[in-house]
Amino acid sequence: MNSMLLKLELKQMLRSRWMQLVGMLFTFIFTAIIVIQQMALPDVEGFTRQTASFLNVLLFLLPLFILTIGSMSVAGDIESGWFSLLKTYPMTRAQYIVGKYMATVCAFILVVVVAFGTVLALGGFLGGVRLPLVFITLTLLCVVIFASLAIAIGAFAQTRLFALSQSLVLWSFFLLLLSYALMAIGTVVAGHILQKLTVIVIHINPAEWLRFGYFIFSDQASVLGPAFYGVTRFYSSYIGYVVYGIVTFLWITLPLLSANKQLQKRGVC
Amino acid sequence: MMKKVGSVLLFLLFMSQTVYADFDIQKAIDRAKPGATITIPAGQYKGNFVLTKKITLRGIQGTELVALGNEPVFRIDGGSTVTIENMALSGNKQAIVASDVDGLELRNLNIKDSHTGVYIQRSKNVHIQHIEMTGNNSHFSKKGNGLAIFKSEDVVVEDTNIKLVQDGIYVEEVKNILVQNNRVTNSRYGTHFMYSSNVQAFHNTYRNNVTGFMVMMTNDIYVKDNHLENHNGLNSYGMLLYDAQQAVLELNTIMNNRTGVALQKSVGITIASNDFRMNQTALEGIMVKGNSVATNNQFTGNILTARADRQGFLLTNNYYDDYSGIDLKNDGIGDVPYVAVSSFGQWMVRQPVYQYFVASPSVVLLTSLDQQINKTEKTVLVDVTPKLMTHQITKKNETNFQQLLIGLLIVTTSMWLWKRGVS
Repeated sequence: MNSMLLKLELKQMLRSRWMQLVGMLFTFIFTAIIVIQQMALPDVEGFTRQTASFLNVLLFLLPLFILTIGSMSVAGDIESGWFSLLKTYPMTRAQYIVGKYMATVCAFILVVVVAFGTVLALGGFLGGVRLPLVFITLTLLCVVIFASLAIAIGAFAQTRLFALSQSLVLWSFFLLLLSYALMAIGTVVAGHILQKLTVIVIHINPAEWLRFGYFIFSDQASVLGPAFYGVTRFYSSYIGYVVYGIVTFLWITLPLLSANKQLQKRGVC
Repeated sequence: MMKKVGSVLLFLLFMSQTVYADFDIQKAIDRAKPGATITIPAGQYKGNFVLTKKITLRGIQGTELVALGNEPVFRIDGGSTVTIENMALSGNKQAIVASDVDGLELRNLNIKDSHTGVYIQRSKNVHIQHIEMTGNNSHFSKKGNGLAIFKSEDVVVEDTNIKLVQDGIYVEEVKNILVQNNRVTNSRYGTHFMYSSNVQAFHNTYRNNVTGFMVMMTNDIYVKDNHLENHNGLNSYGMLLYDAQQAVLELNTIMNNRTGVALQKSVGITIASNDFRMNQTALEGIMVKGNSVATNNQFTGNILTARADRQGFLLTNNYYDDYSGIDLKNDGIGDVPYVAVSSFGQWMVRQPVYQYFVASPSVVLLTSLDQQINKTEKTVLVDVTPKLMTHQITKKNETNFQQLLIGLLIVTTSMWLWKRGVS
């Protein structure tokens, strides 16, 4: 039942015009920025404007697309009565959520693979681009974390429009508002307090968590500055890697569990 | 059989013991007349040798001197025109210690296993040339300097290659020093000037140190044509001038550093015609005074071009790759000012914790807004005459066929999968 649902959901998602447009848009923007930066600037090790662009394109675009499409997919099921039909099948709530989640993850991994393939092909034609392994891994993590959040948003939303607005709010909160709030607080509190608040935000904001992970695993933690020496040193150790894995796992599972709870509360399935 | 193998091994062990040469260096030095030249035959010599007169000590290929205990290989006290050349030296603490010498020449020396390579104090007319020194991989605090020069005058240090030490070339209270064609890598500071005056540094290469040039409490500085690259530690700088007065930094290549050039409490600094490439922050100024200016530089691929406190410094006639103005007059100068000032850059100067957000999505958006809003800013970090690119070299790229094929394969396969998933 699970694989049937996965196939069905994946088919629906890939058929969606919106998904196809998003795939094209992401591929176009991603390829354009990466290739232009690669052509314009020399290839050097370390954190440069080029790697910053890589990271920002990824953190800006991918969460936005995943959150909107993923959440609307779940909300749309409820709104359109698709759930009522699914209820007639021998399927648990958890199976529905996992199927939905897996379909979203698979669809976006396909989008990302198309984008990476295009970058490699065009970059190869123009002399060669580098796609570091850390960056690829981070992209996959981005997909699995934000797909989980998208399912949770969809479960909480009443309608597709509501899911869309919730996704946009959450996206801007994670990507922009939380950072701005922290920067604003920093103007009135002491540096050591701002440092502690930032460490908390790193853990409660998946976008920051992924960005932080990039610096840790690409061995460029010094970019974050001496104030974060203790934190980066911890996360650069083996125990730190394990903790990073655990926190990432929680970011994937907790939204899915909360989605399950919410659907149960609403009496779906 | 085992007995035979054991005997052979014992023989080899015995033969591999260090054999010290017979030539008595100290006796030869003591017997030599002032101005004499002593040629030291090839071989390994162990001892601590003292020089107090005008003399030349010349090794040949294979001449190696090893210090005993914590005393240096050579202690030079007083005297004039002492030359040491063509030999390998190792000492526990220092290889050479020279005090109160007028006319010291050190040439073609290979120093290893020493805490500090050369230690010179209260000397004049010092010429150090072609020194190779390699330290060790311990922490900087446990290492000494490659060359340390104190309270001296008229010094030239050139063509040295120093790595894995604390400071490659440490200079304190020295008047008139020229440091040129040196290469310092994987150390704390490439060259460290303290309390010195009339300092010149040309054609040096500093790479993978904590900081390339560290200049503190020094005046009359001329730094030209140096290459400062890959200084990316927590507190790294390509070049840091602290409490420096009257400096000219020109034609240097400053690439891939955490901060390219930082000026702190400095006066009268001219930064001209340098190439700032791919630094996290190209130029930083805190409490900079006295008509300090950055002019005719080229800023390419830096995350943040410049940041400063309220005092700032002057930017004029520089080229910025992120300048978006136009040149209707066609005079090679942009018609609207380039605004390097950004809220984030200024916060970062005031509160270093903000560095966490460098180049984050929120900061990128904020900086873009800043560039629009601050167009009317006229005080600090604004270049009213930004240069536009006048000429460019078009490089023909060679197609990477392997990558092209892999890319096409991935795209085709994923598109096929997509189509299959849809049907």
